Amino acid sequence: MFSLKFVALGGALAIGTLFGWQAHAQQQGGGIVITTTPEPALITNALSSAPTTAEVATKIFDGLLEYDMDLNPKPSLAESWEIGEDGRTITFRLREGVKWHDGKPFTSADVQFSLLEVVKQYHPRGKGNLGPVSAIETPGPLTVVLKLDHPYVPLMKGLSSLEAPIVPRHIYEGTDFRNNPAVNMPVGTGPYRFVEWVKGSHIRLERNPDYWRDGRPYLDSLVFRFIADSATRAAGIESGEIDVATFGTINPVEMRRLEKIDGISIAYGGYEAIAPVMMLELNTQVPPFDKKEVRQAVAYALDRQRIIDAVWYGFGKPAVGPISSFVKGAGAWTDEGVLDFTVENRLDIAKKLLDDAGYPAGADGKRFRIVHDVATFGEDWRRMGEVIRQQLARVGIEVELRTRDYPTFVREVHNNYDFQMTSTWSIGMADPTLGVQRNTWSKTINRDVPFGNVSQYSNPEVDKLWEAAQTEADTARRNEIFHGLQRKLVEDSPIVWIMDMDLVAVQRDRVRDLITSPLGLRGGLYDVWVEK
Amino acid sequence: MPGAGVRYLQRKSEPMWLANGKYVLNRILHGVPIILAIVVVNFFLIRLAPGDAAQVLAGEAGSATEEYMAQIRAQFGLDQPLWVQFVNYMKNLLVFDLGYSFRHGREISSLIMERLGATSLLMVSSMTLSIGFGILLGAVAAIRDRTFLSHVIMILSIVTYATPLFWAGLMLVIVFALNLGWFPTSGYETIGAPLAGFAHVLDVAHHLVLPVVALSFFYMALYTRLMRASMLETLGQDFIKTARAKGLSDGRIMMRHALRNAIIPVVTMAGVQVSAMLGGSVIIESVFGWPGLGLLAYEALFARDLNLLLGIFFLSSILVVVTNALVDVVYTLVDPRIRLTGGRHGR
Amino acid sequence: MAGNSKRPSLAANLLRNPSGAIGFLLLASVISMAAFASVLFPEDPFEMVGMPFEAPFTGDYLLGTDMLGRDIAAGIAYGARISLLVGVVSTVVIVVLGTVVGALAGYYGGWIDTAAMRVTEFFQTIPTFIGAIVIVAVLGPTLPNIIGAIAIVSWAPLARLVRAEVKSVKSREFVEACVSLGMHDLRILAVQILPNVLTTIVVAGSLMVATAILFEAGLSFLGLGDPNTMTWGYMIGAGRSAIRTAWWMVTIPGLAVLLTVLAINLIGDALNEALNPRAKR
Repeated sequence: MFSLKFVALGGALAIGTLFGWQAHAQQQGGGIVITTTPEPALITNALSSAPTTAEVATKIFDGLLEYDMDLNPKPSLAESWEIGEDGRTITFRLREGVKWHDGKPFTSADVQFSLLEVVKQYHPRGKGNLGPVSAIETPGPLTVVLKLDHPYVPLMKGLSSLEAPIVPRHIYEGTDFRNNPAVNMPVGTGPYRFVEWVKGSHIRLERNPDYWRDGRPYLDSLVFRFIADSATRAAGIESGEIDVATFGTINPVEMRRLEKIDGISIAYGGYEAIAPVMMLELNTQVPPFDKKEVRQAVAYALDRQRIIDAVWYGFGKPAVGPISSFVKGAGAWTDEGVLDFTVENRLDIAKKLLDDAGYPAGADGKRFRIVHDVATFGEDWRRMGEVIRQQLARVGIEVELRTRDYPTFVREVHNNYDFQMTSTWSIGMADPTLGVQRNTWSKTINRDVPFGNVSQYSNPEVDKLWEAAQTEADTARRNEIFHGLQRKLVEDSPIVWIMDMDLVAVQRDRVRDLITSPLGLRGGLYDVWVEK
Repeated sequence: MPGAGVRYLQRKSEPMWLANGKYVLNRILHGVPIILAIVVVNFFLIRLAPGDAAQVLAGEAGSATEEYMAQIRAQFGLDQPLWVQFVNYMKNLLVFDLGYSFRHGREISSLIMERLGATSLLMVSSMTLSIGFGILLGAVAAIRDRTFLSHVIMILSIVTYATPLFWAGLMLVIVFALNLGWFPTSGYETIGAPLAGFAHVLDVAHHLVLPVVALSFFYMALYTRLMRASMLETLGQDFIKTARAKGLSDGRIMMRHALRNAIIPVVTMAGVQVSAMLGGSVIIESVFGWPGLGLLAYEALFARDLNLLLGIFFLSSILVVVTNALVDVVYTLVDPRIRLTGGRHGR
Repeated sequence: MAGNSKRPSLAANLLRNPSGAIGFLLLASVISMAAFASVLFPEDPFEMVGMPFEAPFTGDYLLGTDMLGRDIAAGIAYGARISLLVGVVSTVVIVVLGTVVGALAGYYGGWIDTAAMRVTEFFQTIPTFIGAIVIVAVLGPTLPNIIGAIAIVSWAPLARLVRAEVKSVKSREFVEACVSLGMHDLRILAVQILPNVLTTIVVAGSLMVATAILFEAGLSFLGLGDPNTMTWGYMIGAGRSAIRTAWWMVTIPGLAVLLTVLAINLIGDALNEALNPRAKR
């Protein structure tokens, strides 16, 4: 026992020195309570990419890879890997001695089953992440070879436990995956084991004592609590009953208040690989947004900084285009040559564009009336709609707000495309092909699948660029393609990109090392420890 | 005063308890077709709501493919014609099978039963508290009519009634949970430390206090006002005057005659309130993180988990039919003039 | 109702009662605020006129500003229109529906009673708030839908209450006397029974105005309010998340609801005493 502890401590110290951190004395034991909302429908993220499903499942499952803060791959279940010359085979060497939570050994067969028969089949982003992977070979119990139809750079960015969780073959093989009881009593290889799920109340995980990462996790237990009201969640953080509140669980104005309280702080970071952007989608198929000038006029008329300050209390920064500046490290993002809507005389430009488009101001200053379908994600979104209504009124566009319950909203806007302007947010993911692409590629115009190319924007030139990026193997050339896409898309403005979102969390200060992954709370949380 | 199926009889032919028992049984049997009718109407009404569970799940996922949507629809049986879904539902219902919630991956009956405990605890405690205090305060306000005390009671009852529930709830949390630290801010029990036996009961009671107080405040006002109005009216009636003239003491008049008569509208309202409380506690459950049925129904609606919503409505309808029958019996206990007859109504 | 002839007019009677007078004064000021909202505050109540979170009585805005810098006083004035509308219209619908159904069922009994009770039972079995949420969710959150939803889920209890009272009154000697005298049914109902049931209706009805206003607030709280109208419910719902930062955002519209409800209740009580002298001792 003593020696084990020693090894753990030694390992921690070594890592600490390696990264140049102040090596604090991580303490073993204790537990934290995380509040998140809404309560997930299920907790196996191979079946759903819902944020709260991911928050729970990524503690139970591992992926082949993890990523550092610059989104470079690092070992997880795969210890090392090798990409073939032509970019069409990738060989992974798996970690030895890894055990499932039920004690069975983890092998290459699990990887083959998980990626091909589970993730690619069931994960909502599985086809995007593993698209060209056509076969997986298992030459040995610890060797996996992925065969690709063509080179696919995004693949190496999509093998985390969030995007491609490895699930146990011995439990699922030959069963109806969706209805296997293990879906809600998951067995993984991750740092925490599933203990119980009391519906409407909480999910409890406990430390996996056989976790392959020596000495981790530090915590004995991890509890996810579900509380329906945001003010109550804030009270819970304040009283200390809750240690961490994920993004969206506490109103931004309350976050700013809590931040000032001793013992509570805002946890920045941990959304580099999620890269969410908030936007207004314009229906390019119906007047008045079938005209580029009108779309640009809206882009000019909106005061992005004011929206961010008034509605989101500064948690974000003005978006330049479709790609979030949070993925800057990978080089895909640019603002060079991208049309800038934040110029001094933007209101005059907007008015002139509207005049030119054939929408002159009437005697009362009004040009036309549109309906804005507010995303049904919470009161902040409606408040943003109110601000947008007032801002567009300044250039003579009259806005009527429409709020509907969530399923109705999805049906009318995202399935029937029955809207003029709607707000939403879209996760860009670590690579634009995996996330950003779906909002403007013409092949994602699909009434059956919500949250795709809702603007119904179809431009052969843009399509060609997106498709080139899918198969381009050279990173520099690929980034050039993305830069071109940003210039073209912002010029056309089928979508008005408003804000690169800060997906911050609120935490008690006794919780240490909460964010150590670019996936933040959707990472494994094995580094977290609590100060006693 | 009484509910359906009440008749005033001059002669007593059989013992009251037997009549009451028969009556309640009859009422419940007659309730069966109503409940079935309610299920049928609800089944189709609820399906008027636009959007389906697959769209919600896909929406939550943030991204989805066509195959994914089709898979979910097939799994939930949403790809079948409506009448097939209906026939299947009714078939299952006849053997008390409420179906399966694919969203939760659980039997609906087990989901409901799991929440029923927490809901009943909240409902029964706050109804007891609000009716008890409502009757007391209402009676006092009527007996001491036009005194300082009655004015205070009436103003207070208006204030508590007009205070938005969520505001009252939040204020209780801020004062008693955050500032004073007497109670937890939310939840049904302490999650970190599983307790057993009496310690567990105490723990739940500790969590129960704030939500019950918030909910009772609201309903108490209603009962106070009803009780006062009814009591004032009763006190003005001839039989009370007669009793006074006979020289009965004030205390006896109040207990024996006035209170018994005045209580009837309160009983009616209490019966009516049962179904309201089931849904009316949505806000309280939301504010206090109480894992109850109201919140489950609310979430089911917005997830278009329609069978679950139907199941809760089904339970609610059973509850109302049974309560209505019981309320009629309570009438006979408080007002001896009322007797119940069989299932035929008012013939 | 013997003795009526001796009494002065109803209005005078109401105003002589101190609580009635206070109630009238309060309600009159709320109504005039609603009527003159656009004169007092020419700007759209949604317009962001000042800095966010200005406390009341400190800056340019009497009642302060909300989280977007909107004038709360303007919101209260414009909100009075909608909140009163919601309260009054839905209560009128509820009272008319509830009284007609309840009185007919209670007086006639028989199949009318049976049918009426089946219908009310149907409406009662649906949990009130959830029922309203379902209706608004299905039909969309517009003002008429919200009013309709409130009325639909709330009338049944009143019908049962009225029915019960009517049954009780009907069994009393004076009604039985009227029946034996051969008086017409509707006349007995209108002249003999309803006045005696009025206490209950007035008490329940006055609380219903409040319930309707609060109901709208509850729906707004859950994001199911009409987004294009400023209501007190909306203000309370929107301010609730900032309750710790800016208490006035919730408290001021909350007080507006409270005072309006108080006014309506005081009038209700005064009305009750004026109409129903038997309640006096």
